[in-house]
Amino acid sequence: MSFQETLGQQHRECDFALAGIEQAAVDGCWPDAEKAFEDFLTRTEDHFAYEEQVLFPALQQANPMTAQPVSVMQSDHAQIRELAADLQIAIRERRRDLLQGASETLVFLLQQHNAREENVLYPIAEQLLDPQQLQLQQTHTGRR
Amino acid sequence: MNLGGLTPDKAPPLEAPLTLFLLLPVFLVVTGALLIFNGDQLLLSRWTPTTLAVTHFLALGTLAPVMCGSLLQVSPVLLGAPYPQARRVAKVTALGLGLGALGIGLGLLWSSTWLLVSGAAAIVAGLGVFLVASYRALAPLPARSPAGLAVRLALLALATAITLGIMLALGRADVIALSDRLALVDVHAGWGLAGWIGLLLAGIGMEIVPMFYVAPAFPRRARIWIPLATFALLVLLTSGGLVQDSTLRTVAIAGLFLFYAGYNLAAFRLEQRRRRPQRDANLWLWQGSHLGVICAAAAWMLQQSVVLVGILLFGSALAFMIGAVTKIVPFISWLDLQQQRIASGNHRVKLPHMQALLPPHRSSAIAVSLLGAVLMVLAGHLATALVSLGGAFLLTCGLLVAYALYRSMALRSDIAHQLHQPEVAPGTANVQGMVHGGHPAKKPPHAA
Repeated sequence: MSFQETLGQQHRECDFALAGIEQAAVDGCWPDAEKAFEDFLTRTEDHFAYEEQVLFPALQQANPMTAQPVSVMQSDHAQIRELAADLQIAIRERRRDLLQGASETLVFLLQQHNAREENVLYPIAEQLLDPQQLQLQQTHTGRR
Repeated sequence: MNLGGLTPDKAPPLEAPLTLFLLLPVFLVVTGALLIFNGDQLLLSRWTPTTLAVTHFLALGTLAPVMCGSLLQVSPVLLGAPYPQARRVAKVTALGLGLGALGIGLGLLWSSTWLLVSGAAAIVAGLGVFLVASYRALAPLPARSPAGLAVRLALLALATAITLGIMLALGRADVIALSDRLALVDVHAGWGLAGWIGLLLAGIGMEIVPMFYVAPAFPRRARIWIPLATFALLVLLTSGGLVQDSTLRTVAIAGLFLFYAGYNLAAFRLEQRRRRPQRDANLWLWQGSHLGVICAAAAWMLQQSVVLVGILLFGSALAFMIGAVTKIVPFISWLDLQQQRIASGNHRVKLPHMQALLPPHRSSAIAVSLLGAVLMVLAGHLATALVSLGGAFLLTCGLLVAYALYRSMALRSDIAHQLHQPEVAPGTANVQGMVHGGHPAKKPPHAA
């Protein structure tokens, strides 16, 4: 699987986990929602960790012009974490209205964020970084 | 290196798409009012002044502004192609479309050549600016994305539809002589409906349907071949018009209906296979839209009236675009508030979620009123008075859209005001209570 395909696949897996939370809440099965949330959070933070610790610094080092786009992506990450916190509260307090509001917003934000990364940032990364630098991602994600 | 779409100052300002979206309720009300008073004229023939006026009010006053506004918004994200000077482009396009839709619609309704030609000039100015801006946005883009291909072809179709529309307006004003006006009208409608509207809705739809509902993606091959085949069929339709070969035109139209029926069936099935469990108003609207196009294709194959086919196609396009607006508006309002919060540094004000900015019950009311409008107008074949009732539903739908947009903008404005207030003690900012019913201060989720 290529670098872009691997990261794209991770995006899809986060989407599926988030949909799993919604399904559990609709079914009224809150313990399942808690498990699905843990899965979502682990996948999301693992993906973010690779980007924030490996990909973004490598990009900025390769070309300083990428600093601004990278800061936009980091700002997205902060917003995603904030909405994930709302989701966690909704599950803990068994509040379906709060969960629906947070998950709907999170889905939209994630899709916009993922589309920008997959359509713009990852192709740039593949242009700027050599395969050895991109291989780092394989070993990093391999720890899961 | 194309960084378009990732640079904060290249993101479209909220006002850009909103300016265009505001035309939607205005022309829903105008069209609804016309149907209330002249509803009995709609089903008589595709050539009655009322039918022609309704067609152009809807195409230019409701669909085109929403499509242009949506394109301004999604182009940086999906294509990495931000529009230059998006705010100014939106204002000029909205002005041109507003005046143009009114001029052409009323010109056709009152048989006023002056109004018709003035309206056409406004459309050329408004959409001309939009097309030039689109060219500047999309030209540097590598031709690798299927959505980019569909959008480019849709814009080319728009330019063709406008050119043919101008020829028809000038022919009506006896400025130029047209040898076969009927064929030219078919070709004009083909480029407008199957080209501009169909290609853009299908091209963008194939990207956003899987995204919004976490559904399986359309195969890449389909995302490339559907726009190409549609465009080729439109060229065939035009050739049929040029050589005045009605068989060629019929074959091309049949091909277009088959392609779009197939696409909409596939989209419907993918939505059924979505992972997100909710069935919200937007999904009802989109699935209603898919079914509407399939019914339109069946009605055309069964040689039903062109007006009936047209009602189904316009109803479908409206359902898809209104559904999209009820999703896009709260999301871009929320994004705008996020940006303002970051800029103000005021993190004590808790922002509402998207659904507070346009609550689901409001979207549902809009969907029900639109469905009522389409069903009543279709039922007009049984009793003509029902068309006027459909007009009342459409007018109501316009008022509901206007109210939803107003409430969304008012709430955003209130929160923005709070964000720029001097920081207050924790707990006194009232946005949290307004939206979430309040909840205790939270810790961020742990990192993995």
